[in-house]
Amino acid sequence: MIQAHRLFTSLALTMIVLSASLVSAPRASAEQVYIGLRNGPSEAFPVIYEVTPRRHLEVIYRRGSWVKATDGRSSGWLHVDDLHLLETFPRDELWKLVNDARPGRVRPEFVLSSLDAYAVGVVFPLFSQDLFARYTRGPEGETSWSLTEFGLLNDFARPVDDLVFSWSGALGYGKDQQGSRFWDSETDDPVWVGTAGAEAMWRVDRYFEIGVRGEVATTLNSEMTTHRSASLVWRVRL
Amino acid sequence: MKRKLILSACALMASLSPSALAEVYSPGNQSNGLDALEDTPVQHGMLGAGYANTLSTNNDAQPGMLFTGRYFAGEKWYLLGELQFGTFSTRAVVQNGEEVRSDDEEMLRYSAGAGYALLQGTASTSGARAVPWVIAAELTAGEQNSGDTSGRYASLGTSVQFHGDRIWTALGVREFLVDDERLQSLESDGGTQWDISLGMWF
Repeated sequence: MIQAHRLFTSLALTMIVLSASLVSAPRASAEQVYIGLRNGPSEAFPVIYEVTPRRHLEVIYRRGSWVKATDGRSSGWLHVDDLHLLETFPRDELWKLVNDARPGRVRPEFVLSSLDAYAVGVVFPLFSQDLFARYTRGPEGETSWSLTEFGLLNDFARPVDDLVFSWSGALGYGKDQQGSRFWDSETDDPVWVGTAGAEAMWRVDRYFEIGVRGEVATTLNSEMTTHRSASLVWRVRL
Repeated sequence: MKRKLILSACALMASLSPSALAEVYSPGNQSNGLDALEDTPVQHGMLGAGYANTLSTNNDAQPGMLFTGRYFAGEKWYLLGELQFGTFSTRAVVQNGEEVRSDDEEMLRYSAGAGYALLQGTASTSGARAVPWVIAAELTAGEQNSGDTSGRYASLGTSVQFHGDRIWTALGVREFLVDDERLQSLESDGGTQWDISLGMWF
């Protein structure tokens, strides 16, 4: 009975010492981290080269939010958000690249309208507001017309990160061409045009947006000729 | 009283001397030094030139030159601009005694649109060198002038691109439509185009 008690005590002590040593002992070795360099500027391209965080890499050039980096022997593409994993990469250069890759607020746009017209324009910031300038051109022939406008674009809802709803108001200059009576039923003289619209833009890529816009344009003369349209909008963030 | 006023004026003058002004704290804009760093070269897109062949319905295959510009709008999207010119007709067509298509008509097309990289990967023959490739869908709209008439142009196609370090090459195939009334009457308002291009980054 006494022997059994001694055996149990020694076993219990051994277990306690072993447990304590397992808890307090440092890990034998930390898992080695590798940073993958890809064959192209997208996660769809395969990793062709791996480096340790202490490898000295130099950035050759940037495309969007990806940079091509080399260690002098091999090269590959790396996202700017992963540059901080490189311990030897200069911090100031890192922040400059991250900042340069950030999408800007100047957004050129291309529009196709249900009025058989196309438009080119640009949205740009001014005093924390988004303004836009746009030139719309109607189809060639008897109904040829154009509209040059300048206005304000204001976001009013963002239900999810990549989807933005906005309204817009603009003042423009409408012109009939080749005898068209699109804006004015009597003369070809240019007329002032006011437009109001709403749009939904979806950010499909870091620098690219696609959306739809509904718009009403009314001449600011006694005729008050009104045209309604729906448009497809493509925008690039510079 | 007068003496006190003069002394006060002298003290004020002394306090406004240049040495005193220099000690006034006047903060300026601080620089974080990032502006002093050299800009990293940026690849904005691809410029190319090549040979294009247009096969409209009820027409012979017509050669031409194609100039393209692609501007990267993200990892997979890019904007596309194209300019193509070449011959449109080398064989006259007469309908009801009237020549509706002559035998020396030229074609000029310009269009813009977008491309989306459907597949991206790596090609290698030896294993020593790997070349990225991209298969993209491209949609464009624009205008086509054919002889003396014109119409709006729309196309949908694919482009297979191989991206080298300094140059790239691409093969493209597309279906197109033109809403030109004369071409519609000739039933030549659509067809297939293929092209091969070589270009550089900008």
